Amino acid sequence: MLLFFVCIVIVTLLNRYLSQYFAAQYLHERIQSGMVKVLQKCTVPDLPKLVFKLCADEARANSWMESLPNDYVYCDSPTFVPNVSPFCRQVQSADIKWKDIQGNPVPDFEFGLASIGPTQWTAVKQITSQRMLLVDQDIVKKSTDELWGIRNRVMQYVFPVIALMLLAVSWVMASVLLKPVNSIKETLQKLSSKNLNEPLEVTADYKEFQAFTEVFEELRGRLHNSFLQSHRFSSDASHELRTPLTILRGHVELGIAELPSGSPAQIRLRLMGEEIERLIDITEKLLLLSRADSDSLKLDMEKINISDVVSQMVEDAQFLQSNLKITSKIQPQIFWQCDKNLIYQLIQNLYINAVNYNLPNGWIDFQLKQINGSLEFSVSNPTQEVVKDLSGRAFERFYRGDSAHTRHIDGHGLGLSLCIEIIHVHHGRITLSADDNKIVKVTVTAPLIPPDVWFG
Amino acid sequence: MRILLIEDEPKIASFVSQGLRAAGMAVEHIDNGLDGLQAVLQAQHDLVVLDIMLPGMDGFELLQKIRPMGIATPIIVLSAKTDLQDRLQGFDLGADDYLAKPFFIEELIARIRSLLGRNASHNEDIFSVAGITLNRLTRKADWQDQSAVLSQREFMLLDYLMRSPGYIFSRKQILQHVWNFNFDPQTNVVDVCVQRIRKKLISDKNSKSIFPIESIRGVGYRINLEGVA
Repeated sequence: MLLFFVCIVIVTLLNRYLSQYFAAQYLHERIQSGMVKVLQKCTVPDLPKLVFKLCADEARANSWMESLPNDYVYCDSPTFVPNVSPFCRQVQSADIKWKDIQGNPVPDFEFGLASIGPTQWTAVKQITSQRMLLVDQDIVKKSTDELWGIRNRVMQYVFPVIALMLLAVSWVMASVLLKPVNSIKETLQKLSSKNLNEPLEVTADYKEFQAFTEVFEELRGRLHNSFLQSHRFSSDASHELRTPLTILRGHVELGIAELPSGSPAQIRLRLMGEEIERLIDITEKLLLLSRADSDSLKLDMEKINISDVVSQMVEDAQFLQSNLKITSKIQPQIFWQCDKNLIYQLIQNLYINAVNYNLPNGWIDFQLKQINGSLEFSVSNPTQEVVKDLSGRAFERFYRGDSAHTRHIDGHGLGLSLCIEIIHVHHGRITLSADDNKIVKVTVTAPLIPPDVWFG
Repeated sequence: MRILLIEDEPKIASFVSQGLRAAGMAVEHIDNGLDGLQAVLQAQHDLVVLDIMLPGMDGFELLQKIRPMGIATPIIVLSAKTDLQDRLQGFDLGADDYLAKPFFIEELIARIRSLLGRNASHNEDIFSVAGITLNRLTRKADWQDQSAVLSQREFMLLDYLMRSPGYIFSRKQILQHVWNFNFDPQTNVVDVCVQRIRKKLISDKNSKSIFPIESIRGVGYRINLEGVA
């Protein structure tokens, strides 16, 4: 916008000085050629002085030169007319610098500048008749100045107004023309994996945009289908897996109950049972993830004392992890409106990650505090190796740190990606940071009362 | 106890039937919704175990039909649909309990017993299994002439084992129930806890008897009824 105004000012000034320069020259030429015309018209050789003046007055009366003040001075040739006016005599003796223009545009005429006293005159002389016409340059200047006055007013007021009006008109035109583009942009901005099922509400005001919106609508449809398919796939797969898993678990349990206690076959069955549990776990997590992806995760919200939950976890950790030093700083009596089961999973996932990726005799530090209307929960632990871009990759599905493979840590790399979805549906954030001392810190922040409870 | 099992998947029906029979229940199995409805209407069963996705008529429809007719037989719904919404729908339509697949057969047996009120241990404050008496209010446990007050975790573990005497619980099952852990914390916490219960209840006098909590290496833990009998 500012740039536009600067441009207008520059263009206005440039226009003014350039046109002034060219117009001044043009005016000068026009005056001279007008003078030539007057002289040509009244060029009868022996025309008496008075008649010549009358003729000249008449000649210029019908031309644009009329607007110039009646300050012409006509001089007859002194050779033919003896009674020359004193002024003319003065002119004759004046030092007129005749311009020698090569390829003179008007043959038989000379153009020059005369100075008589302080006054400067523009002079034109017909060579054959020796008659001259003179115009006071001050007069010319005055009249041109008047002209510039008008022109300047035009430039200073009219031109910017026109420019502004142009701007306004083009602005309106552009916004009218681009309205469909804007509405398409806004609609597309709102589009996410969560609302792909809704048709694009774009009204194409012009038929030129009709095809455009149709293409988008088609694209949305295709995207929606592929999203739906991929979500349905994991959701269907999980459901379909449940039946065989139920059968497997049931028969394994039955087998364990029937076999003699401690027999190798029973132990083998328990081993199988454990792997079945693992499969069930993965299946449930995949189902949860696919629900989160399609925004169909139903929350069972209740108010829990999160301080107690974390404290219990710390207490358990102190008891369970005798090789790790467990420290904590937990602000008591923080109540959180959340899905208890999902939050248990979240906290347990963070805890088990801190155990799995710890140093042999390392430590875990839990922190929980309330900041305004939000809670901040963090779990820190030292680790053996921090891979490049850990903070990004750790949340990828099925990503497992190298040490998990080398140390044969139980897990399947879904924990943190599940955490991110769990905290997402609670309107919070989860971040992972690793510093130079190889200390990994996962921080969860979330509003204690989710916004949709406030407003609905 | 006569149980009607309406389940279309024969392999599930087979282990459920076997498990329930092993627990001393009579099981009749029907593999579709329409025949299931007929059987329920005859009202000859003490309890119905009902699958939701059934050929002919699904479990929800069946519930919808029988409850208004005044059939009050307790019904446990078994379903692969585990959404809160499905559960609530099940209860709304008159189901007495809802068990998500995959389930532990022991869990099903425990819930059947609880619904039929046949398992006193589910409801009473003081109950005895295999010589151990447990007071649910005071968390006091007695075995022979030794008694001790258990910690919360110890109590929950013993209570869990005593609810299904004879059944072998895996470490993972115990961790999930007692510690609410869905993961393996990589420690022998269950073993430590069992050892502590044992230490509390075994004295010089009763040390010759076989303690009923049996830990089966690599398999799990159970209350051993055979040793007592």
